[in-house]
Amino acid sequence: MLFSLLKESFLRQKKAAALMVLSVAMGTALTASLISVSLDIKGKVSKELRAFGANIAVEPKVEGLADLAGQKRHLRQEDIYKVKTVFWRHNIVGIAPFLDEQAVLVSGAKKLNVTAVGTWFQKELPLPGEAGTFKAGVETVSPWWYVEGAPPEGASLVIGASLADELGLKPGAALFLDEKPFTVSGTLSTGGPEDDRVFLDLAGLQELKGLRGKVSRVLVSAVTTPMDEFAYKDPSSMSKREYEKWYCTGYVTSIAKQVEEVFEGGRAKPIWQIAQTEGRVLERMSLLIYLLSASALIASALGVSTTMVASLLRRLDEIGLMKSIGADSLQISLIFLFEALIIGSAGGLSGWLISLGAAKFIGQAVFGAELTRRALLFPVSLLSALLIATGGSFMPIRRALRVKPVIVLRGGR
Amino acid sequence: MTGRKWFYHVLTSALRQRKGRVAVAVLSVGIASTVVVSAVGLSSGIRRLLGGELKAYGANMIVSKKGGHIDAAMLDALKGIAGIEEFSPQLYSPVSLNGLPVGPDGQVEMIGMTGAHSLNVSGRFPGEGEVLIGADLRAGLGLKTGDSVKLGGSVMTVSGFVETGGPEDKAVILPLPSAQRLTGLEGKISAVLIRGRPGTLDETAKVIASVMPDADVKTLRQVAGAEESFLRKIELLLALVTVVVVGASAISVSSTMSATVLERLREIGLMKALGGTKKGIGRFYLMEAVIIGAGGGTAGFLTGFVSAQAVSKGAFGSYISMPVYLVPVSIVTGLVIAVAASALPLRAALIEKPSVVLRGE
Repeated sequence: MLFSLLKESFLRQKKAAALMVLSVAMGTALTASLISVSLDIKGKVSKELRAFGANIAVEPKVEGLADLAGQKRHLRQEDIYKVKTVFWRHNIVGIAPFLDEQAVLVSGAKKLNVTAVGTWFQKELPLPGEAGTFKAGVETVSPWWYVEGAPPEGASLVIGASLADELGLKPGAALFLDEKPFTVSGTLSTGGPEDDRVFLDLAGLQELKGLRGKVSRVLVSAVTTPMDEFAYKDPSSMSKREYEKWYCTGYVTSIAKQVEEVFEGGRAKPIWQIAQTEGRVLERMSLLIYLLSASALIASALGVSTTMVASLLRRLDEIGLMKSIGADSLQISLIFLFEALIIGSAGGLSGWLISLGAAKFIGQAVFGAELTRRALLFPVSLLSALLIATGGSFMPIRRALRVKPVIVLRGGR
Repeated sequence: MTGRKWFYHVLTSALRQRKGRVAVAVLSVGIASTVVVSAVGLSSGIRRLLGGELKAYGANMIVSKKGGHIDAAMLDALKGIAGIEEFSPQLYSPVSLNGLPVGPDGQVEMIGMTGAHSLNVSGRFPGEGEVLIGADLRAGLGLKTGDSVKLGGSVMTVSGFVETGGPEDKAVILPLPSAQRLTGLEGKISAVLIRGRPGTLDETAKVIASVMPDADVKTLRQVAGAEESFLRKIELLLALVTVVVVGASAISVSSTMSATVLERLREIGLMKALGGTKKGIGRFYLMEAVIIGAGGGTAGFLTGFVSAQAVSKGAFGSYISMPVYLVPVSIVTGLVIAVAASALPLRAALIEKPSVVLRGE
């Protein structure tokens, strides 16, 4: 009996039923896509923020006056790969070593002292015990370094733009560095101090200066958890439990600590300007998206309810008729409840499908990568659709059940 | 009664007698414009909101003079330039610290600046006769706050320490006037760090170059490039979220409006049976939709404004200036959605024969 009533009801009002399903589907699609965006926003934005540069610098440890005096001290190049073995290794997205040395540059009749920097521009860093290699080099920590020409290798070098202007050097030009011949393979312009330096391949400068296996500084770019109040506590004053919690949270300070542990004689410091700003931007951006999503969700729930209310109000006559031929409240409620359930499931399912497309599109268009698909979204979509559909029918049905059949059938309200 | 008067009489009583249903329709339009207004408002204001946060990444331009100093008097010229949000003059000079052999040439870098800006300072920014010490120097020399150090020929008190992870860790920082006096470079500066408004840096650099012709103006790619591309991405994200929100709300409102017209098919049949023309009946229902749309659109603008401000205040701690064009946009959106959504089922109803509709099929 119930089944045939339901079937009739849907067949006889295809339009009204379609409208309700459409409305529920749209509400669900909006909900599910905004939830996808919200859940992924922190990870995605924090990857984007890495474009502002490295957030951890490793340098030789300073422990006494001797360490500050003129003599050069170095880190070991063989320690670099170990950065990818720390607890938070998967958060390390960039590594680049630098060796800074003074050198004499001779170009034609001009002779001057310059800072020569040895580094990796691009480097496939082999990781022992793992199949693939890790992409390291300046590209991964300072994506704004713009080389016009080719990166240095062997007997070629890249020259800072200001220096190149001053000496009138172009790619292809020949010069001497510490009496060894080099050709200019490209020019580098950053707007910073790099514009007055020359850049060699790390191995090249190590050989030139007799510093095999040594680097002066390593920059690390890591995806981090924003610093909170707990993160600013001094680790040396933490209890064992707190220390463990701190160590296993991806704060920039705890990742720096882990990086420091793998460098012999090294000290790793957060680059505060980058690390702090990043944390704040991340917090605010995600809060913005959460709040925006929450208000859109409330609005869509209300919006879907209004459709359900509007569609059911027109069936007051029907309810009056049912009552007058002897249906009790329970039976009538059951019919409408089942209708709402069917509309809710159909709307929820199609809304979920639409949201898959929307989330994929947003992820691709903005971040160039799909938003993570979450299995959780399916039950959430279906459940919220059912909830809204039954919730939206509740009020008009209750009202309909209260009215007297005579009045309704007469057309009064 | 004249035709027009009669029309309005029917219209007002139709609205009055169906208060509940009219309220549902207005509510639906209002909710949709609320989300649309807040989403559009936030995405148009996001550049300014986020720009304020990105400021902390530091300067995106630097003005210096190769092998020389800039006259501090030139700074006045920078004050009137529209593209400059903030600037900070700095003086760099090597100085001996406690007469010890520290730093590559036995000296450390002294930086004179006007305030701590976004430096990570423990203690406080130095006043007259005080100095801020870099973290590496602190570790190497075992200094603590309140100690006296000899900087060049003057004795100063350590007011705090600075750790940035950059070159400042090996430097000492003084207020600009003290640094100028210590080095005998009164009225001179080495460089000006400038925070230009993202997106306008090239024009701003040209303006600066025209007022300070003998200095080099450079754009710092690290901040400038990353900032612009980051802002663009976030703007795009919000724009797309807005599109999704607008699309979903428009469809949701349309179905509510359609449902309210569908409900009244019988009424329409009756009007036709009593001799109403298609045009007259159509006008009547569209007028109703206009009233509902305008009411919902206006209410939606007000609540949307409030909700956008609440979101902005919650996330960024500051209010946004909503573009004025949102007022007409919100009302027109409400109108268009309400009218368009009623028009379709209405047309279908008007074509139908009254006898068929009245029979309830």
